[in-house]
Parts: sequence; structure tokens; C-alpha cells
Amino acid sequence: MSDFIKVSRDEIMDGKMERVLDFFRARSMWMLYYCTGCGAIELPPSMTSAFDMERFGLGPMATPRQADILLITGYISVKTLKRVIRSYEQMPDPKWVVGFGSCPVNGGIYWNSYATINQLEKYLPVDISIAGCMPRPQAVLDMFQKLKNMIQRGEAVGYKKYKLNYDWYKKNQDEVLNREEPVFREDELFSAPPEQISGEKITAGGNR
Amino acid sequence: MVIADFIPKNPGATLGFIVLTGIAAMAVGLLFMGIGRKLTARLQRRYGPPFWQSYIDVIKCFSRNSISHHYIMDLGSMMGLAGLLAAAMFVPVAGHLPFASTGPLIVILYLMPIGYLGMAMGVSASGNPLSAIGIGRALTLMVGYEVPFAVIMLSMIASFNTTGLLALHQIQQAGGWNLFTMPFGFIAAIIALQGMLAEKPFDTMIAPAEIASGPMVELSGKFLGMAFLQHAVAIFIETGIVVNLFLGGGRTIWEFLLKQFVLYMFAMALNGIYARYRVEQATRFLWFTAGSLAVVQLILNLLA
Amino acid sequence: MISLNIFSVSTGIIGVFILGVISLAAFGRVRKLQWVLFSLATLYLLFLAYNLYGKWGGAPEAPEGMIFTLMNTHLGWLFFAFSTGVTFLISLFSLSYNDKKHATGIAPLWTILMAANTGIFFAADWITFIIAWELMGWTSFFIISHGREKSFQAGIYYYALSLIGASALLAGVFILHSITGTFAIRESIQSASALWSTRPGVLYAVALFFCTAFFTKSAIGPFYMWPAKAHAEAPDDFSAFLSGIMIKYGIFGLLIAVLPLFASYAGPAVKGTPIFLYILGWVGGLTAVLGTLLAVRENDMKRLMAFSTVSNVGFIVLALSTATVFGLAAGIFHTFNHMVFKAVIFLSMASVKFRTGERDMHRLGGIGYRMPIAFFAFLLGIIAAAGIPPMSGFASKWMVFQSLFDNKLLFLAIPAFFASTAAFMYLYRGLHSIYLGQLPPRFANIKAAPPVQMLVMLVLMLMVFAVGAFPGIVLMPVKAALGADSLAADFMKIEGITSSVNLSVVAGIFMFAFIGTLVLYIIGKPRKKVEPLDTYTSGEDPADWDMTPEQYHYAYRFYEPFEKMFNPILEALSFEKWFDGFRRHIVRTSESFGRWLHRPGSGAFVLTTALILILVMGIVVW
Repeated sequence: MSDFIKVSRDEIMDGKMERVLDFFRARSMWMLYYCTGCGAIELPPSMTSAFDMERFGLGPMATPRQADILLITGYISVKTLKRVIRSYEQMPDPKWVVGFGSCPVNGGIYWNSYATINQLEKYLPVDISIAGCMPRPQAVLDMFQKLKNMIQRGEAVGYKKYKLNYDWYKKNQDEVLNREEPVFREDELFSAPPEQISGEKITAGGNR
Repeated sequence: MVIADFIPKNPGATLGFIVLTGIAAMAVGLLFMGIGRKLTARLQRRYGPPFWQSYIDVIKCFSRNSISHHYIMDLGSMMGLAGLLAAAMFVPVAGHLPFASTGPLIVILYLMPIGYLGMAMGVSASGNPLSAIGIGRALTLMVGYEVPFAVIMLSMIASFNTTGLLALHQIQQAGGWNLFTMPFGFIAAIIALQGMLAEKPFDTMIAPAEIASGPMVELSGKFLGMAFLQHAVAIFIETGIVVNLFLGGGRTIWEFLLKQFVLYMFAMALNGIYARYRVEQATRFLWFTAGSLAVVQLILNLLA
Repeated sequence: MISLNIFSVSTGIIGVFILGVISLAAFGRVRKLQWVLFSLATLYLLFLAYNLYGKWGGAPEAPEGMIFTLMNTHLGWLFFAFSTGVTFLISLFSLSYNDKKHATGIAPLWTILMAANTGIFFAADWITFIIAWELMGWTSFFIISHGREKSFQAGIYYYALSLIGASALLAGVFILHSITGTFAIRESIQSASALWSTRPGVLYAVALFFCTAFFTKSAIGPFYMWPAKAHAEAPDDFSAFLSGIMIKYGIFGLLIAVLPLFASYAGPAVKGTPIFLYILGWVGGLTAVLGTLLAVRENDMKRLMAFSTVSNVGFIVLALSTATVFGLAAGIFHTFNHMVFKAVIFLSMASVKFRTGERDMHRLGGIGYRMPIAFFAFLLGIIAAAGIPPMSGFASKWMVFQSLFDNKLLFLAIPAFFASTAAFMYLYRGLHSIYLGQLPPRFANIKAAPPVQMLVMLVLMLMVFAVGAFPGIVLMPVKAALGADSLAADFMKIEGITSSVNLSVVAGIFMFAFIGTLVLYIIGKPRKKVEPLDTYTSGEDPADWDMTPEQYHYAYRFYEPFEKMFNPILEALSFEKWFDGFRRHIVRTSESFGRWLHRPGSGAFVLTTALILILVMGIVVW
């Protein structure tokens, strides 16, 4: 965290002219449903007839170029993180990242997995997170209301943060994406003694 | 030929009318799109966005930064919208036109593909093969719906010996709607209109789940905004043509807009119900149903 | 009967012919000089055209026994002026195209071909016409073959069909002579057309023979396949000439021979059109559809454009078959427009081939990023070919449609509309596959087209645009040539049958709308330029998969759904096998004759025979 550049609120928030445009941006948000994990299952109920996200101007869009919001739903495996970052960088400004579910916040129930990341905040600038495993549609709509108000007040500036601190984010991303050594050492491949699993001696070495 | 013949009598007013027609075409189209979304939502038993949602969408699009792969992409997007706006100038709205013309149908039918071609050129320059696939499908579908439309135009010629929309409007104001005298043609026109508007079951060009919205895959920001405006103007032109051909044209502007609105809502209702045809199924369907109905109408008009 | 006035047409023909022969014989080593001579020859012919304007007439008074005469008709002059003008521009292009690497030796033959070209348009009697026709036939055969085996196959196919045409032409001319007693073109047709009441069968036979002759040259009806082979295998600059100008000789023939034959026709007619011409119209319409369907399937850009030519010629025949003044004007207008926009399309593709060496569309891609002028030339060309305003193709296509509406020939208009709409498909495919999409790395550093080529393409582009905005530039001379005072058209406006259109207004509105969208573009937020390979690939990085731009360029089998729909019909309708068999017959016969001539000791035999023949002809002529 040492090279993270902090600026004052006034420097990074949207100015008066931008706020006029923010009025429109807040009422027409198009989302790229990057449904990384199981959290995505609560999105269809939010979209369909019972809870109807579209009346707030939210709608799905097919490609990152067209979307404003990158919706990270659920856990993010390392494999997915690479694609998520590429999609994020393909989106034009202004753009917002929503961390959906507990997994982007602190790892959720996969906190001790070697294949997922625990804190999305380290790799992408998350504008708003919503905890829960999974959050119910009412919570989802509440979150979108809050995001709308944030945008309208000019406070949703994650993309500016990303541009300002690009080196810091890149360092974090490279740590995870360009690993040089294997995650496990040879002797810690299995957490339980091998006999308890199958009854016979299994030597370490596996199929890493 | 003297250059003075070229300039209309009151250049300021004509220019003003032209600009007004352009803006009105876009505004009316966007309004219809918004109400269409509301209708689709109500069909699905939910509330839907407010009816001014499309305006907000377009303004938001223009307020975003965008990317472009090459200046040809910029040129293509502009050319696409320009072609459709130019075609909108020739559609008589309740008998009014921004400048003196006969509302020639062939000119309109041939100015609209320049919208397609411009957009096609722009999105091809983006380099994404999905856009090329989308455009290929769109052009294949165009053959499907243009041929029945042409046959409908021929049946108009057989009856009235004119292809000017203004003349057809005046004939219907005096005589009665063509809807009642040419029912087969009207049904063929409705089916062809569904194809022209690229609504389901003929929206294979967009097909978000298959080809990631086809031509619009690399459009962002103002390019996407211009694509939306293009669709809006296309709605205005196409429903305007069918209203002028079959629904009597309209004594006042409001009556004209109301008829356009009813047509578009009918198309959106069909859009909400049907699934999507593959492109060869769609083309064959358009030829065999809309085409044969139109040919039947042509024969009836020739015999009468 | 051969006058030696410096400005006279006969001097032009003979002079250019001799120039071509000298160029062939003497300057075989210095190819650049051959091309310069060719350009000078076309320039001289243009100068001739300029001087001949208004000096109509020239055919001698006594029609009997007329051979080797020339006359200056307004229509013939118009065709001559346009064809020579476009050829001059192509010749300038060729000067730059035929550098050390790409030079072909066709310039002297092309020069001779220009002499034949002049002869066809200025012929006053059938013998001159046939001589010029034959000269044009075999020079073009040698040019198409230009020394390569594959091109030779295509050339032989073309030559086989030309033989059918030439024989039919001879048959028609001799029957005409036997019933009218004269070889003069005008007089024979005029006196023949008065014989409808007495000898309709003979006249139908004459019309049929002439139609066959001109159909083979213009690739209409059952002869639609040869342009795809010939235009594709010919040298690239000559393809522009073939597709633009040579195809039109059949149209000219139809105009002077077949259509006036029905002048005082009183037999069975369909809504005022003689039944023969009505069937001709259907043949034209079906050719238009067939050309379009075959073009959609093509992967080779030159074959695609050749089929497009076939389709457009079908359009022209549709317009001509209505036999009204409006129809004739529409057909001729489209002829000239087609000359220009097909030339610009082919020359643009020639530029691409000049720089890249590729002809298959799926191996190209993104060339427009490196060669912008070629791209814009091609773009304007295909906008005109699609018949979209504000380019010239729209004005003539509009007139063609209107001419169909005139006689209430409405069912004929259906294939016309189909062909016209489906044209967008293959034209877009050419644009996308060659000039847009992804640029293969091996072409990433090609230079733009050479300056002379760019200049020629710019001039042609300007012509396409100017005629589109001001159709009167071409339409007024056509109107004057036909003597069509009933045609209500001026510089900017055309009055059709069912409506009228002011093309300058259409062009102006389009420009104005373009300015409007430019304003919208400027209002929007700025845009960022990104790499061509940085596209939506579902988050994947193409480099991870070793994906090259060529693999990412969608060009092969572009219209597969459409092809699947139409393949059965096209297979059933193909005349390919029949004509291929005919071609093989011709090749076998000529090869066996050649072997017989090459036997040892046959030299003396051939010499004696030739001397006897010359003696006999000399006795007959004097």
C-alpha cells in the first residue's frame, strides 16, 4: 500500500459540468454481467418481473465497449481475473465496478482457496460492494439506488483512481497473474494425512 | 441551368425546416423506442423504464468517451446516420415536406441502404469478425424484406400510376384508406415492416446471445449513440412509409404520429412474443409469405 | 472510299492500327514505350472525337455495293467518345501499373483493339462492322491469354463463345443482305423493318441471329459464364477495359440492329411491346438475377466483379427491351455510368494487386488502412454499383426502373429489384474482405498506390460523384443523340413516369445531413484510438492463442446461408458443361489442324494455297 497515491476529495470528484452529465449517466446504466461465479444467480430475479431492474434504466449489454458497469458477481478465480481486467480496460470511461457478493469483499467462503483472490479492491477499483452470499434482489436494488446516488453526486470515480494509481494496481495484478513459483510447496499439497483420504499411502507430487 | 434555380425561394426557412425535420425524426423515433420498451415490459408483467428512457440513453452515450480503431470507423458511423436523416427528409408527414418534393419512394428505399452501408463500413473497420457476420446477416435479410416491399410499390403503380408518397397521401385523403382496398398488400407490408425494423422474429442481425450484438460490438460512446439515433430515424421512416402507403397519411401531424405509433406498438408486441429466426429461415419466410401476398395484391390491382 | 483527311475517322482507324503493328513488331523490348504509344493513340482518338462532334453524316448516297465505308452518327459518336475517354484514363493508369515487375506485353494489341473499337462505332456497312468485330475478337483473345496457360484456358472459352457469336452475326448479315439487297447498316435495317407484314419469319430469324451474336459478346442469357473466367484471368488493367467497355459492344449492336428492326412492327405484342422484345426483357432480367446470385458465392474479387458486370448488363437489356425513348435513354445512361464505375472498381483492385500481389479476397484484408485513395475509389464505385444516391448509379438505375413502370411491365421489375438489392451483399463483401477488417502482418508496410494511379482513380471518382449530383452531364448528350425531345430531363432533374426526382437536391440533402452528423460527432466526447486486434474477444487476449490477424479476418464463405439456399437452383441452371464441351471441340479441331499444318513439307503447300486464294480474291475485287 505504500505507493498508493491519495488525493483530496475535491480533486477527484466530478466538477459542476460533469454533474449535469452525471444526471443522465445515473439514470441509464448499462451493465456487463461478468458473471464470474455463483453470485450471478441472484441477477435474473432482479431483472425479471418481480423486481424489475429495468425501470431504473439498468439493462444488460453484450460487450465491454458498450457497458458502463462491470458487475463482478461471486468469486474471482485467478484465471477469470485476467479476463476481467482485460474487459475492464476495454471499457471506455466513465465506468464503474460493482463487487457483488462477499467474495470480492474478503474472499467469502473461498477465502482459503489457492485458486481465487480474496480482495478485488487490490486489483480493480471497486466503486460499491454488496455483501451477502448471495445478496437478495431487494439488497441488489438497494445497492443500485446507492450507486445511482453516488454517480449523481459525482462520487463514483473509481476509473479515475485506476488511472492515477495504475502502477500500484498493475503490481498487484502481476503478483497474482504472473506467478513464478507454484502456490504450494511439495510437502503442503494435502492438508489431511493421505491415509485418511483413501486408506493407502499417497506420496506427494500430485498433478500440479 | 442557373445557380439561382438551385436555391429555393426562402433559403432560411427551408434550412430551418430541414433541421427541424431531422431533429423531429430523431426525437419521435426515440420516443417510440422508449414507449416500446414500456410495452415490452408490460407484456412481461413488469413496470419497465419511463417512456423518456431512450433520450437519457442517447445523451448518456454521447457523454461517454469512446474508442475507435480507425478514422474509417468514424466516417462510417457518420455516413450511416447521414443517409437515414437524408431519407427522412423525403417522407411526407401529413402532407408536409421540408422542401418541395414528391416524396419519391424509390429514392427513400435507396437512401436507407446507405445507412446500412455506412454503418457496415464503420463496423468493418473495427476489425471484429462478429460485426462482419452481423452485417452479412443484415444484408441477407435485406434481400428478404426489400423484395416484398418492391412488389407492394409495384401494386401501387398498377393502381395509381405513381410512386410519390405525397400523391398517395392525397389520393387516400380523398378516396379512403388503402388498407381497406388492398388488404393483402397491407398484411405483406406489416410482415416486411417487421423485417425492416429488425425486430423479432427477424432480429438475427443483432442477436445479442449469438454474435454479441453483431454490428454494434465495437461501438461505444458517441458511435453507439449514433447507432441508436440511426435506429430511431429508421423507425420514423419505415412506419412513416407504411402509414403513407396504406393508412391514409393523416390530416394533421398528430394523426400521422398516432398511426405511426400504433404500427410500431404492433411491431413491438410481435417482438415481445416471438423467438428469433435464423437468417435463411427468415429470408425464406419473408419471400414466401410477404412476397406471395404482395404478388397476389399486384395481380389483383392489375386486373382491377 | 477511303479519304485521307487528317481528322477523318478512317485515318484514325488505319493510323492507330499501323501504330499498333509497329509497336508490336519493333518495340517488343521496350515495354514502357509500347504503353506510351498506346496512351498517345487513345489521346489521338479523343482528339478525333472532339473534332468530329457535330459533323454528322459521311455515308455515301448510293447504298448498293457499299463496303468499307464509315459514317458519323450521333449515337456512335457518343459511344466512341465515352469508350475512348475512359480508355484514355485506363491507359494512364497502365503507364504506372506496368512497371518492371508487372509489365505485360499487351499494349500493342490493345492499340489495335482501339482501332477496332473505332471501327465498330463508326461502321456504315456490315462488312466494316464484321471486320472490326473480328479484329476486336482475336486481339482481345490474345490479350486475355497474355502468354499464361491458365489465362489461355479462359481465353479459349471466351473465343469459343465469340465464334458462336461471329458465325451468328455473319448468318444474320447475309440473310439481311438477301432480303434487302444492301450491306449498309441503316438502310438494310430500315428496309427490313418494313417487311414485317410479308416475311415475319425471316425477320425473326435475323433478329434471333443478331441477338445471339450480341448476347455472346455482352454475356447475356445462356452465355453468362465467360466474363467470370475471362475478366478474372486477363491482366488487371485490361479487366477494367473488358468489363467496362468491351461488354458494351453487344449493347451497341442491339441498339443499331435489333431494336430498329421492330420499328414498324404490327404483330403480337404485350402491352405495346413486341413479344420478341418482351422475351428479351425477361432474358435480361434473369441474367441480372443470375449474375447477382453467382457473384454472392465468389471468393475471388475479380470474378465477383465480373458477375456484377453480367448483372448490370442484364439491367441495361431490361431497359432497352421496353423499346421506348425513355427506356433507350435509361439503358444508354446506365451503359455509360457502368463504364465509369466498373473502371474505378477494377482499377482500385488493380492497385491493390499491384502492391500486394494477392487476388483472393480472404487472403487480403485491411488494405484500406494502408491505401486510402484506393479504398475511397472502391467505396464510391460500389456505392454507384449498388445504385445508391448520391452517386451516378442511382440516377441510371432509377431511370431503368421508371422505364419498366412506363409500359406497365411490372412483373419484369421484380427480378430487377431482387438483383439490385442482392447487389448490396456482394459489394459489401468485396469492400470488407479486401479493404477493411484485419490487416495481415505481411502487408503491414505496403505503400499507398503510386501517384499516377491515384490521380486516375481520383478523376474517375470525381466523375462518378459529379454525374450522380448532376445527371445532365451524361443525360443531355444521350438525349441529344437519341433525338428524344419527349424526355423531360435537364441538368439536375429527371422526370420519370411515376414520379420525378431532382438528383442535385438529393445529393445536397445528403451532404447537409452529413454536416449535421459531423456536428453531432463533434459534440460527443472525444474518442481514443486503439489497436486493430484490441477487439471484443470475450476477454481473451488473441496473443495468448497465437492468433494472427489473418485468422481473425472473416472473409471466406461469407454468405454461407445464402449460398445454401441457392446452390441447388444454380447447379440446375448451369450451362457450364455444354459450353465447356464446345470449347474442347474447338481446341481439338484447331490443334489437329495445327498439327496438319506443321507436318514437314506442308510449308510449300500452305504457300501455294495462300497465293491462289489471294489471286482469286484479287480477281473478284477488281
